[in-house]
Amino acid sequence: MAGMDDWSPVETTLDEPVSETIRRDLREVGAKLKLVLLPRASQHGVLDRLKEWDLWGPLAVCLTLSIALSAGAPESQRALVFAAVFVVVWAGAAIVTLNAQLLGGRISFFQSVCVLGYSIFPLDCGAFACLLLHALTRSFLLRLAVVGTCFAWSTRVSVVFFSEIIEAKRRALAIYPVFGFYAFLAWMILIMGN
Amino acid sequence: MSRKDDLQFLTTDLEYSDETPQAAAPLFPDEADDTLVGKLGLFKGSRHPGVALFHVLFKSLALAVYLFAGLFTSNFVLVCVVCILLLAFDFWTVKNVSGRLLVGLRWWNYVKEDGATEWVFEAAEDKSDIRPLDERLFWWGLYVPAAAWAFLLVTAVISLKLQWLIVVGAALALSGANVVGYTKCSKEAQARLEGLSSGGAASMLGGMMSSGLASNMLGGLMGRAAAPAAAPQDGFAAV
Repeated sequence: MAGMDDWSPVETTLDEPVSETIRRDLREVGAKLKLVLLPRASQHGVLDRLKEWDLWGPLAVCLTLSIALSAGAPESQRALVFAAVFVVVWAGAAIVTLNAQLLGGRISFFQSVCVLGYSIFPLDCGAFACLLLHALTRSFLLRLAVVGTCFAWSTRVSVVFFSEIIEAKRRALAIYPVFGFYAFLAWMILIMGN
Repeated sequence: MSRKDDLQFLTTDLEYSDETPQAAAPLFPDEADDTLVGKLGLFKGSRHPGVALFHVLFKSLALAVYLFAGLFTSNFVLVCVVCILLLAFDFWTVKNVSGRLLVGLRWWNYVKEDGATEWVFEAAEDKSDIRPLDERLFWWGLYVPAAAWAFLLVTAVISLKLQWLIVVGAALALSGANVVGYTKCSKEAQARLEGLSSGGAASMLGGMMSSGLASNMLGGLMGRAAAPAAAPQDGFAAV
């Protein structure tokens, strides 16, 4: 059972277990990000891993995306873009989750937010790729291709997750906002710097 | 009883009778002497000066950055990110470290197979290790910053600094989770204590079952060999 370890009298030094805990948490987040990114991993394996939820990954992913997009925004709009992306990620994830719960999905709030948050990671990569592309070329089509790929990548895990927990009749109703959520973020990346 | 113990009992009878259990060498040596914080003499009387420092450090820094960063920079994004990271570090510290070391309490949230969430509370059985200073520091450090952020929420709304609601919202969500978790945990521990003193064995068992203590004892019985099976715990600890 969880926590059993922490109460054993073996834990005498303070610094050692704390650094161990930090390292373990970081490894866990890193492993989950890698899972979301790897196209070969079967979706169900990914989902089982993501069901052991944490919000550190989503926080890191969300802050990275907000920073990347605000870096690409004009000077006067930086604060606004940062705030907007940050709020959209958390409020969007919460709304998509509540929608799935109202549609009868047997799902924990935090598990769902965890899955949705981690799945933003490909869009993070896309945002940085677009920042780099801006320095090299102004080709809109190239950026569209990059963002489109990242959007598909991001929705992949979440769509499987939601189709697993919602019965077939209402599935489209649950998945539609998921598409909206990632589409909005992808659109923000696409118009960045225009 | 080993042979050595027998021998000691026979030959040093007087010494043994003098010694109270409290005077015996502590299981955990006091940290005060061997860490930087202890050497500096900060948090004198705390059993874990280093933990005590970090319990208040991140909270204070987050509040200070939120309140005074405007004097030095107009970069909203930077201040926002620094504040949120500090608040996240604080949440992690309070939930995973300072709670269990300063007051011997721990809480976590656990998701069952059907998606329902369940609170799990743990409390140290032996309260003698907990110092009053640590206890006071922990609870004041838990409630005062939460109250301060609630006050800042009102000021931010009144003065229409709406973009700052991101930081205030994150602060309230993170410190609120710890306030709720530890308050529930403490209440549960107190109820269990009362059950132990007044009730019989049945209520005692019930109290333990509800809090996961029974599984702890079971783990203790099975020894350390049971620990590797606790791998799923990583997910909870990461929260």
